[in-house]
Amino acid sequence: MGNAGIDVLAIAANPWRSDYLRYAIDVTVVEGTAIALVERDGGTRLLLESPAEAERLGGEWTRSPPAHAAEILGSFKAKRIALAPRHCLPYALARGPHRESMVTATAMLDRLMLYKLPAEAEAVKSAAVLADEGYRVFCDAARVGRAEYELVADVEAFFRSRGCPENFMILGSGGVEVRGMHPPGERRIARGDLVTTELTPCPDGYYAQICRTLVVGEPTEAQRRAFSVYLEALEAGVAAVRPGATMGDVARAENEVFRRRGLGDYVSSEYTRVRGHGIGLYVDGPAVLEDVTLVLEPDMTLIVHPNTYHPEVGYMVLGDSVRVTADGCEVLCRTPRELICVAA
Amino acid sequence: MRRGLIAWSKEQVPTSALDARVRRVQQALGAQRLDALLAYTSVARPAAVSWLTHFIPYWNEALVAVLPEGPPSLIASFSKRMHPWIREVSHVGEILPAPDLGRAAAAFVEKRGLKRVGVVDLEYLPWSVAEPIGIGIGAELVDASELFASLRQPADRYENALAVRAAQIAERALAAIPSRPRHASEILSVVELAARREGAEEIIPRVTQMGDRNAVELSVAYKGVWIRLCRTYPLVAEAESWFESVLQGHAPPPGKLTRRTVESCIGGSPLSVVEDSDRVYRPLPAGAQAVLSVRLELGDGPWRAAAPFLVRA
Repeated sequence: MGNAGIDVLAIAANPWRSDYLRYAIDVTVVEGTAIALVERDGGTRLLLESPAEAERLGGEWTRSPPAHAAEILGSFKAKRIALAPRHCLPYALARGPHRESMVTATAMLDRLMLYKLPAEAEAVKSAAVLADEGYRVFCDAARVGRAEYELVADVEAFFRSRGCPENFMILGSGGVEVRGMHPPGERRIARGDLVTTELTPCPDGYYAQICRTLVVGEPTEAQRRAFSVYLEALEAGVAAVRPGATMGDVARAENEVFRRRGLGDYVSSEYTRVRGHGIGLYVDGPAVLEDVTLVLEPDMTLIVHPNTYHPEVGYMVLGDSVRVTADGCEVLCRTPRELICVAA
Repeated sequence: MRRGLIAWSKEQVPTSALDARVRRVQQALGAQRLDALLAYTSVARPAAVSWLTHFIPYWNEALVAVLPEGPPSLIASFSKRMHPWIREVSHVGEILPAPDLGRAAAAFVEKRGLKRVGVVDLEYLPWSVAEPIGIGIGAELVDASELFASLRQPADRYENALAVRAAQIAERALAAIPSRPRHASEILSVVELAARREGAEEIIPRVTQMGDRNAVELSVAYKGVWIRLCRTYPLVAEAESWFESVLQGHAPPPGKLTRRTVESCIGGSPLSVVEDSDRVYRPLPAGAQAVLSVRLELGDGPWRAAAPFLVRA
C-alpha cells in the first residue's frame, strides 16, 4: 500500500470470492458480504452482512456493508483510498468517488497473490496431501447403487474431520454420454461407469486440486486406450512447467498429445474449458490455455489437467497440482496416475 | 462453493409454480415503469434467481432477466458445455453464454432497447456487472429490492415443503452429534455426513463454545430453500421449552434475552435480517418463512437457539 500510495484499502468479499480478503487479513467469509477497511498505518475494520459471521469473525454487523463502508470512507478526510477487487465490489460502494482506483488496486492485489511466498506454496502442498487422502475416501465411497451426492457426503465428512472447512468438488458418472462434470445429482453409480471427480480441499485458506477417473469394475480396452492419452498429456504438461515457460506452453504440450492421436477436436472449447489453472487462495486462477502468455515463476502453483471428452468412452479427467521450482516443478499430488478400478 | 445435491424435481416444484412467480414479477414491472428486472446470482447471493427459476450456481455467476413477457433469460458465465446441466436443474428460456457477465448483460439490455432496468439488491450488484450496463451503455439502473421483497413472501406451499425437508435434514444432522464429542471437528464431520447424505444442497455449520456449553448452529439449504437450526448442548430443558413457546407466540424467557434476530428471504441473500431486538427493518406478511435466533443469559451461562417458523396472521 505504501508503494502504491494507498492509505486505506477497502476489500470486498463474499463466500464465492473471499480470496482477496484472505490474502489481506486472513479471513474467509462463509455467508453474506464482507468489506474490510484496511488502513496502511492503522487498524482494520471488518463490516459483515451476516450477524453469525460478525460474531464468528469478531467483526461489525451491519445490514448493508457496502453502504456503511461508503459512509466510513467518506469520513476519511485527505486520505488516499482505493477499492478492490473490481469483480466483487458492490455497486453501493463502487459507484462512489473512489471508483477510479479499482483497476490499479485490483491489479496490485492480483500480482501479490499470483507470486507466492514459499510459505504460501507450502500451504498449497499441505492441501495437496489432503486432496490425495480425500481421493482415497472418494474411491471407497464409489460403490454401485450409491447416489452421486452420497459420495460427496463421505468426502466432505472426511475433510471436516481433518479440520478442512472448504472444498470445491464436482463429478461425473456414466459412460460415453457424459460430457463433463457437475455438482452431484441423484444418479446412482452403476457397474461399468467411469466416475470422474476433481477434489479441491482448502484446509488453511489455500486450495490444491486433484483430478482422477475411476472405473466401477474392470476397465474396457477402449477405456484403457483412452486413458493412455490423458496420462501422456498430463506428463507432457507437467514436463513443460518451468520458470520462463508460459501457461500457453503448458497447454500446448498437453494438447499436442491429443492432436498426435487424432483427437485435436477435443481440446477445443466445445469439449473442455481449460487445460489447468492457477491454484492457491482461489480455486480457479489464471487459465492454462494456449493463448495465455503469463510467465511461470518459482513458487507459483497450478493444476495441470488435460480433462476433456473422449469420443469412445466419455469424459475423462486426470490432473495434478504442481509448484514451480527453480528448474522445473514439484508435483504435489501423490495419488498414482492410473485408471483406478473399484469393485463392481 | 456448493457441492451438495443440486437437482430439480418437478413434483416438488412444478413449472407452474415457477411460472406463477415470474408472472407476478412481470405484472409488477409496469407499475414501476421498468422495462425489465435483473437478478444476479452466485453462491453468495443465489436466492432471487433460484426462487424464479430453480437455478442454483455451484460456482461462477449469472443474471436472470425478466422482461414483461416470455420466460426469463439466463445470462450465465458458464461454458456452453454446462447448458444441458442448467436446463436439467432449472426452468429458464434462453441461455446466453457470458465469458464476461457485465458485457454480455449490457449487450442483452442494449439489443432489446431496455432503458430503465430494475435490479434486485442493486447495492450488492458487482461493479464488473453494473458498470457495463449503467455506464457502458447508459441504461438506468433502478433498485428493485422493495419491489422484489414485496412479491417474495409469503412462501408458497412448494417452498414450505422444501423448508420442512431442510429442517428435517438439520434435525437429523444435529441428532447424529455424539454425546461427548472430543473436538469441534468431530461435530462438524458428523453433521456434514448426515446432512449431505440426506440430500442437503449446502450446509454451514458453526460451533460456538460458551463456557461449559456448545452451541451448534446449522444452516441448511435444500433445493434452494435455507433454514437455520441451533441447539445448545448440554440441553437446558427449561430454555428449550421456552423457545418452543416463543415460536408459537410470546412467553417470558427463563433468563435475560440478550439477542433476538428474525431473518427471512427477501432478495438475493438466502436469509437477511428483517428484525432484531432494536427494530423491525421489514415487516413480514402472514405466511412468510422466517428464522428466529435468540441468545439468553441464563443463571449459569449463555444459551442459544434458532429455528424456522412461518409468520402467523
